[in-house]
Amino acid sequence: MTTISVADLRVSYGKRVVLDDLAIELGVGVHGLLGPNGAGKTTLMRVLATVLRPDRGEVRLLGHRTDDRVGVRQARRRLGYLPQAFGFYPRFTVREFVEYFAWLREMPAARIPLAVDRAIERVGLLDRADDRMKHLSGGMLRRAGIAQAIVNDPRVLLLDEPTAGLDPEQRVEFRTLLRELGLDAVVLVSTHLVEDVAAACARVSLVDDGRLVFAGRPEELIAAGGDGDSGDSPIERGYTAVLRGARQVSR
Amino acid sequence: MTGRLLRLHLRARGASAFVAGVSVITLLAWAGGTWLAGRSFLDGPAARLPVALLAPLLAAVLLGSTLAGADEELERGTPLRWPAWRAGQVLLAVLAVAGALVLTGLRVPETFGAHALARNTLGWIGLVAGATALLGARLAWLPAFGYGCAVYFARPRDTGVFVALWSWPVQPSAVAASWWAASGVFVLGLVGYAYRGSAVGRRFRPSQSRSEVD
Repeated sequence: MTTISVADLRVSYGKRVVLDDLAIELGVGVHGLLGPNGAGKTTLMRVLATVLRPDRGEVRLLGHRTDDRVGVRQARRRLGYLPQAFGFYPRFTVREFVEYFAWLREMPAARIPLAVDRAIERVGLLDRADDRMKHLSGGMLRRAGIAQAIVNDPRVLLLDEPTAGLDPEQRVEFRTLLRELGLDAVVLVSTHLVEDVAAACARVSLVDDGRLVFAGRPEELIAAGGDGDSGDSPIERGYTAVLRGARQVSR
Repeated sequence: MTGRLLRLHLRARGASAFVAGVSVITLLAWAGGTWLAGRSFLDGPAARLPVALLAPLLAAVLLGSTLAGADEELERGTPLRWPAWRAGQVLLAVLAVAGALVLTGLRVPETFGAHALARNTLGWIGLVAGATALLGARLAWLPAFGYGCAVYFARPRDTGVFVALWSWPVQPSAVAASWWAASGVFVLGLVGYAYRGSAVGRRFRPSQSRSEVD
């Protein structure tokens, strides 16, 4: 079932067009969003997170149009979002931070205490749950951010560079968590780390210069690369091959 | 809405620091106003103009820092009815600040006392709220502070309608146009902030605030 549907999307900042004529359909599962710096990944995530209004196009989340006031509120209740850089609340403990966002997402009051503990446990921060956020390391802050994104058991989960700052062991654990979450939600992960995509994602979309240039399974991206393409792994070679091909076509 | 959400929201906004700051400002306003009004070499109660101008301005500047969350982007992606919450916060702040400051100016309230303190609280908080919507909470104090300094040093003695409209913070409280101006600024600031929230800083977005949604 399609839970994210984007058609004819255009976003510009002043005269600079960042996303143009972009269409994408995503169903339940873990989806990787790849692309070079400035390709428009974060802009797409912000549009899907309903914090940036596009110039043009239709965005539907869980069947609700995001330009409809009632629909967007319903979608936001089932949405989880971790921005690329998030400002944390220094006065809050981890538990209070996650609880605050559970309330903001209008979860039923009776469900909140258990959901907060479960979310913190899933990111491995239960032993630091009562520490103030200003005392956490960068990787721990990132995990607290992931906890607030998943506290409401979102049907749509948007994670922008979620593994930045995580150590290798935490990244492996995070991939496991992603696969669990992707069983009954659409999870979109924007990342530069193609190995994360190969390990955790069922589908991958590649954006370049504001356009969708590839959508398929990681194996298909791997198959697009050859020995002559640059990259240290098969998926990196596929990534560079697809990008090169897209740029040749656009010229 | 529950009490727990309200408590968390107030903590997220630094409400306790704001209340402590307003308490200090109130004490200073009372001490400063009493001292100025009691000096035989000054103009009596009319000498309290700096207090009537500065105390609400400082309280509004303090409020500015509470008008945005640590991450506006994260908060905006949630379904809470933000316009109502934002408006409620500003209205509560006006009531709290005006209520506290008015008590310090009850002696001869009509001559840069309680009345002027209430009017200037409305105007300054409106200006800071409006600036928050345009510039973000971090810079919201700048227009109010700059305007406050300029109007204090200009300090026109004329109380005609046009002059009273632009110099409302230093006009005697009996001048009706000064109330209209302060109230107008307050309503504009309140509505602008309620619907737009704090302009999001560059750290979180490369875009223009026009495109942000609530």
